Amino acid sequence: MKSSALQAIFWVLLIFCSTVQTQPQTKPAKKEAPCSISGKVTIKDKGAPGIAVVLWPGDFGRQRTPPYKSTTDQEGNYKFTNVAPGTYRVMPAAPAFVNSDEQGSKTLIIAEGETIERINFALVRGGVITGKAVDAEGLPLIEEQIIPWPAEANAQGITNYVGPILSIQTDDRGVYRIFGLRPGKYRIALGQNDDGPYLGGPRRSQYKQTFSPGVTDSSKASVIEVTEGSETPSVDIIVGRSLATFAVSGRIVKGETLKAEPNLRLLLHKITSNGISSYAWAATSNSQGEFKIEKVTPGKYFLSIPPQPNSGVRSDSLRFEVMDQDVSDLLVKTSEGASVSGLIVLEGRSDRTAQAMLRQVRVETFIADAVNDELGGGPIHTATINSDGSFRFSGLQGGLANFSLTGANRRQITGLTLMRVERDGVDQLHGIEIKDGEQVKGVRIVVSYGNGSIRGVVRIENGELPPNARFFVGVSTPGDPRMQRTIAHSSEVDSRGHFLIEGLPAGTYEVRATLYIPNSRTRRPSVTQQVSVTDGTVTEVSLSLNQSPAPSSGNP
Amino acid sequence: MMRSVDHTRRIVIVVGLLLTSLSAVGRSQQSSAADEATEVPATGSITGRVLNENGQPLPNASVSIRAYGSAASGRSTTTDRNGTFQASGLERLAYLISASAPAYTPQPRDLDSTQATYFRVGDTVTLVLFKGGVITGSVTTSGDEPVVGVRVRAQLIRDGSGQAPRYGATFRESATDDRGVYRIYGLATGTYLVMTGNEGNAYDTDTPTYSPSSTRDTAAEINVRVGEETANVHIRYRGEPGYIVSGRASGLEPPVEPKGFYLTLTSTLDQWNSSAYQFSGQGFFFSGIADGDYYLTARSNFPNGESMLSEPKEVRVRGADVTGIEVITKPLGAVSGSVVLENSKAAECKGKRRPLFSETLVSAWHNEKNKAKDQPQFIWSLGTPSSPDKQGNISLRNLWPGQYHFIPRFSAKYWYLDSISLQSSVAPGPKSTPTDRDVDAARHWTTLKTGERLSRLVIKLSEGAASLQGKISLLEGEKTPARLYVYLLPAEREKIADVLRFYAAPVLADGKIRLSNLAPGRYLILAQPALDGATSSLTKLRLPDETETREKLRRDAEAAKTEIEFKPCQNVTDYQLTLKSPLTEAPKKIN
Repeated sequence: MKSSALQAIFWVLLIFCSTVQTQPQTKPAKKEAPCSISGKVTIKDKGAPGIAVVLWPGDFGRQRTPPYKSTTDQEGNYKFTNVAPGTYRVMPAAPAFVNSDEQGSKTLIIAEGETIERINFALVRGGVITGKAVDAEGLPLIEEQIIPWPAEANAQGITNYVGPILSIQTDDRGVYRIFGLRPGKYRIALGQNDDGPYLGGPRRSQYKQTFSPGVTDSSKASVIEVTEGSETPSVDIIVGRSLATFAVSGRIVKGETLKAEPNLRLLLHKITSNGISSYAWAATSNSQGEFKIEKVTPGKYFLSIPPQPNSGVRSDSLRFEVMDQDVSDLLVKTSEGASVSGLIVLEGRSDRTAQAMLRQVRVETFIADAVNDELGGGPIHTATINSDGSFRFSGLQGGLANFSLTGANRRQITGLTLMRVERDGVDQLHGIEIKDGEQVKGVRIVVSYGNGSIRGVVRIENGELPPNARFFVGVSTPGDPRMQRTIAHSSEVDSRGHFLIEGLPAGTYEVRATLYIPNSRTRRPSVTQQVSVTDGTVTEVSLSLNQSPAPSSGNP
Repeated sequence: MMRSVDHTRRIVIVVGLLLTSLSAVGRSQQSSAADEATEVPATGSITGRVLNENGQPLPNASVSIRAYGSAASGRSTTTDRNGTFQASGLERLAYLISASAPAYTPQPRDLDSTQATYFRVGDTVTLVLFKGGVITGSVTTSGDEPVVGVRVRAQLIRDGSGQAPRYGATFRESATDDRGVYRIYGLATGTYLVMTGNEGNAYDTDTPTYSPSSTRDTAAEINVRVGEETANVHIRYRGEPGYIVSGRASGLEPPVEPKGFYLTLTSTLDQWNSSAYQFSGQGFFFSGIADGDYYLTARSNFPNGESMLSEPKEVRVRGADVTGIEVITKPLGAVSGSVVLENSKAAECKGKRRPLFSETLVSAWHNEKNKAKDQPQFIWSLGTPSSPDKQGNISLRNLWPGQYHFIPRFSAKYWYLDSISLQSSVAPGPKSTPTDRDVDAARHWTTLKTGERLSRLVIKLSEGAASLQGKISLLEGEKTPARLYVYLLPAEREKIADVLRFYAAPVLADGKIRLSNLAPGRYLILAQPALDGATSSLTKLRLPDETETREKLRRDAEAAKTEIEFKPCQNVTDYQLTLKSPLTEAPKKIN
């Protein structure tokens, strides 16, 4: 029965889709009509006056215009008018409070002339925990990072660190003050966690992870209960001896001749018990090829040489363990890596604008192999494109190479789409297999230029979604029905289910929306729809998704 | 005429003992063993200690060891329980070494310090950090509500000696907590302005509010001393929306497409600044800018270490946004040339260690008197010291148009700085001996126009340097006056105008004097108070436009009539300098 209902939805969608295609609701992409956004900020179901609400344009860290700011009135209402269409994040700027629905900010993808209402925020006054961190002699620990660890799983089973927005450090007296804490139970800790990702940097803690009042065993730690607006003082932490640290030293040499490799940068990664490795430290070899890394805590590590610009030098990862003494005489052997060279070519539109765009782009490759998989990912190599369209990657290890486009400084690029990668004229759907030391030539990276857009909305057919549910929307070419190669995707689907995919070349595409609920073991439901895109216009689509785990027909 | 010349060559080992009385021990140029040695290992170590203001060891302090003009970016290490550190496997380069620890601030540089400003392999370094001062208070609204999560900035406007920071604004920041309380620590002694707003989430679009609750013109000046806490520096937040300053930066014929532009908006009043970044092909904006006069500069950096900078553009903000500003970055100036070494034929100088090019540093110093004080000062910090390559070729880059002179620093006991000249381009290759057509770049400022590239700067280091050790003769019970200096002035007629033949060194507390790397020849010697100014007495003495200072000193020296002569590679020891006239009071130094 469910299946037939879904089939009905599917047909409805198809009909809707065909109407889209016969009467495309396309509009010029550039013209902008002002929009407005309004909502209410409440504390304990009452309107909260005088709260600043900020509307940040653009994606994270890529802000091009100043934020809009509004302050709530006596009833807690706020309103932004004359907002230009675009992608925004809206949030109340009240760091001492937390949002009751777990999301600090809401993303809004706003179309021209839209009036958006009821973007509401329910705030709860966060709790405060304060105390002092001292060493065994009672001296204050200065600028020590303090982490409140949730002592019990939250509703979604997540026990990850969910901290306040501000970074919490002890001051010059060893005093810390954590505020804006979500009600719940916490253990307060400082120092290096054996399995934690953080251990690098010159200012890393020299203490083993220690919980208040002064224990390294988390089960013996004080559990602090935070309630709405509560303040728990004197949550002090007394640390024991600082961690024993050791020096790691050795040489970088050419694998064949054993001659010194000077001025090469080395990265030290820690292998934690979860198998996750994290970059920890860097050193550069001197003229004799020697390197030395100091203050390394006991544990398992590996050393790697990051991709060298304009050099084919690479090395395999060198693993070692630091136990209770210095590690010396490590020998990192370099070799000439594999290379991939070829041409980037434009397909379709190849006017001056497209050519100019091509000059700004870079090609990236990531090589999957067994070692990288185990260590949690290898390096990403970047190649610039010469004026004749040629590119060359060198210093690669063997494995399966996948390619992607990127802008300068690894910024996302809009307008150029990687359509396919060809080797000897054959489409390499799953990437190029490279043997160790192989020199691969004649690779063609086919790209297409266009500035068509797909604007759409994803709706849920049955039931309410948990607040942490998220949608992903991707685009593939119709010839690739199983979506094994997504050529573009929406950077975000906003809190209303709206999405926007820009910079598409003209053509027909499959748009797929997938529902993702963190920590949910159920299959991810998805829906697809075929969409025609014309250059320079916006095509609007609407996708309906059934969140039940039953398979939806037409989308195996 | 009094002459006290010791002709016997003696190896002086008391140097180490002498130096322990100083707060900082630097590169000891008198380490004779090294200066006689000919074999030089490729790498070596630098060791040292970090002490606090009471002379106690400071454990877990970060020590940064950087080399200028080298591909190796330097390294950092931390001190152990005894406050000591060691960096081994270091190349033979000129290193700048600094220490830092949270809540601590570097000891202010003493103008009379004899500590080296850079170090080399084999040196032992002592660095001193002071527990910094604290400014604390709260930020509240007019309705007494705390302002939460706003950044509060303490901007240094005058240091402990009353000088404005050389390269513009220096500041430290902290954010307010849920009670509106902030605490800024690790501050150096000086006078600060405390301000909030303009930065910190919801406050980006507000103009800065200065303590107590004012705009810049009526801001309170807060005095801070190291180790002390200045409390109750409250701010009543005004929350006044500021204006937008926006536009677009582009490069003039860039050698390579810059990744982006760093924009700085600097107040003409006090060097307050705000910074922004513009990705290539986009625009920039500043928000929360208050009414006032500013300079806007754009800078782009290239992987080869060169920068391009725009002319500072005046921006007047008067009750409205300022948009559509275009700024164009242009190449900066550069001076290139070479360091040449000239050996001595004197028998006494045989087998002496030559200075290593890699351990030599050359800096270009701009004329402080000639610069516009309201313009952004950071532009002068772009040109960093540089080391010559293996052939002695040197290139000083990223120089803003202005007047410059050049200060080479090298390490070799028996060598001296002979001449600095800008040679005429007649003969091919650098000549070690300047001719009449060449310009004495030590005696005259070198003027650099926008983007100008001057070549043929020749710095000549010659073998045969002498040294002088001795004591000031004091009467029984008399103490060495504070800030007393011993000066050497060239006595030979043809050397009178040679500023590089002028030397100055502080007289130590026990009356001992020590000068090294002296050009052989005849000198007038005298003891006099330090020269007043913001730079060391030696730097001031050699400034191109300090002719009057040098002439006055010469009149006094001629009256004192004490002459001394140095033969090539001679070490004069046990020299007695008698104070002839009552000393005038030395200029006060505030720290």
